[in-house]
Amino acid sequence: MAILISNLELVPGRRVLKHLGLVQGSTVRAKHAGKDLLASLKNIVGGELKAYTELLQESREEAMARMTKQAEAVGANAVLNVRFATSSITAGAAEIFAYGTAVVLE
Amino acid sequence: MKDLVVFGILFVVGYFAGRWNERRHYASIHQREDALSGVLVFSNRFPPAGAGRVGTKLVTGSAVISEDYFKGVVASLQNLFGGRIRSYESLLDRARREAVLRMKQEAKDLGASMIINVKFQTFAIGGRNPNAVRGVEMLAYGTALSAAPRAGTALSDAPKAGTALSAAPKAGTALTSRA
Amino acid sequence: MTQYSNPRIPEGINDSDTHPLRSFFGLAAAAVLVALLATAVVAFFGGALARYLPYETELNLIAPYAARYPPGAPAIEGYLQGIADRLAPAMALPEGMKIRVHYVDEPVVNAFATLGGHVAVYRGLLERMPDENTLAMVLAHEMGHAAHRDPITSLGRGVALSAAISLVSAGAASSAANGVLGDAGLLTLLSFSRSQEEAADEAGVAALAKTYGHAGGAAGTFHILRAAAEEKGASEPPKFLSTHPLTQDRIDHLAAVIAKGGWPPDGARTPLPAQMPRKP
Repeated sequence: MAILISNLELVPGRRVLKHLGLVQGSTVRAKHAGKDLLASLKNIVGGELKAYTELLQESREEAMARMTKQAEAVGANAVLNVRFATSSITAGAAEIFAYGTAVVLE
Repeated sequence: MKDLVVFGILFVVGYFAGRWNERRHYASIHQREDALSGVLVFSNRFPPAGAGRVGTKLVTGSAVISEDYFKGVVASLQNLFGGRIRSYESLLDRARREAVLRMKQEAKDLGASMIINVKFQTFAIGGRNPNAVRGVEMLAYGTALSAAPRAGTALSDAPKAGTALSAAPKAGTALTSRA
Repeated sequence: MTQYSNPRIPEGINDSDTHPLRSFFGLAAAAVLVALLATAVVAFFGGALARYLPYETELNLIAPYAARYPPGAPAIEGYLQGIADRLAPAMALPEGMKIRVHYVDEPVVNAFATLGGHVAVYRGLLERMPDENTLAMVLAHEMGHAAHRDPITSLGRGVALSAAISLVSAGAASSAANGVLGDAGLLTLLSFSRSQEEAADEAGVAALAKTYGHAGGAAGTFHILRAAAEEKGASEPPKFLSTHPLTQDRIDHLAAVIAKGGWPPDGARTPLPAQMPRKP
């Protein structure tokens, strides 16, 4: 069953039957040292750090996948009010944290 | 050679002490999660429909969880190759759950049974300095709803941090569906 | 009425680190492999390139150090220099290289070759020499290193490695990776490689046999080194820890080289002159 993920409070036209509380997904990921080196070279000339854009994308997807897994585990069919946060442990790694309220929609 | 010995000692101590600490922390988390299961947490911005006049109060909880030497070594090795830094995942998990538990405890002390509009924020105690003490810094905050308004917890006391009951949904919110 | 509840969420979704030790050993093995490979590549290129430095550069590098060791004990140094000069035509020394022998008045049982064709012999070793042939083999071996330009190769390797290590540590590595890399780097800097030692042995024994007409005394130094080590109570280190081939291996190797060269394995030994230092 596909889980609906939204940062809306309410889904238009669908009633929330059950609120199942906070679900969260988090991950810490890094790129290999070669890409870190290339990124530091890119710091000289500017422009998009594609490797890190990709890293953030991967991390966000993984965090959302884990949040979805938690939502499935509690029997929800949607996660509303989704937000992202980052934390900081170490340089060169993306630590992304996604959370929202698991709900059962009509 | 001396460096290697120091490294080895820190590594072994880090591994065993870190594991022991983590196991103890998780045991405490599980025990308190059971004890505080009466306080419900949601990221909803609105209280349940028909809740009527409720007392609101900002509640917060925060925790800073440090890495151990072993986790640090594994993480820096993993950093060379890229990919998921598994050794730090439990730190994030523990920091977040600890912050939520402290927030719940505060709500329980107020007599509340529900926290809405929960948000997370992180500090960066060491900033981006790679030599700073390494740990995960997490702040959880939300609005505790208590069924019976008490002195000092009335609606007018609602703090600024986006917890006002009248907050209107923001424009431009996207709706995505994921498989 | 909408229901509100907080069902329990199963563990392990946000924490996939179930085998921390296993992931560590996997990563460490991969890191060590990469480090060794990189070290080997850097050392090889550093050493190989340094070999092409002109001999004058080598002399310039060593000049400030050579000045610190003024010639002492002219009688002994003159005698040692005489042996070296007789051996030199039998060795394929690079063009312009002049061997300079120094005598160091210290009890260490050792001799070494360094940049610029400088060879040093310690009193400790000289005292134990039974005859001139054995002493000539020591000099010929060290001259072999100089002829093969091993000191500059070793220096080039060291410089390349330390440059690479400082690059890595300035880049991404943690203090841990640093410590490991640093120690691995030092080990390779300790001395010449085994193959360099063996090549110096081969060149040395050939020069010895051509100069004296026989290879007598070629293995004598190894017996002396072994006796000196036993005296100190230190047993030989295991083979894999040592960059020097073990003494017995080298004696065997020398015997094979002598047999292959068709030189008489022994003959009349030349005695040492009276003014040489003797063991008290």
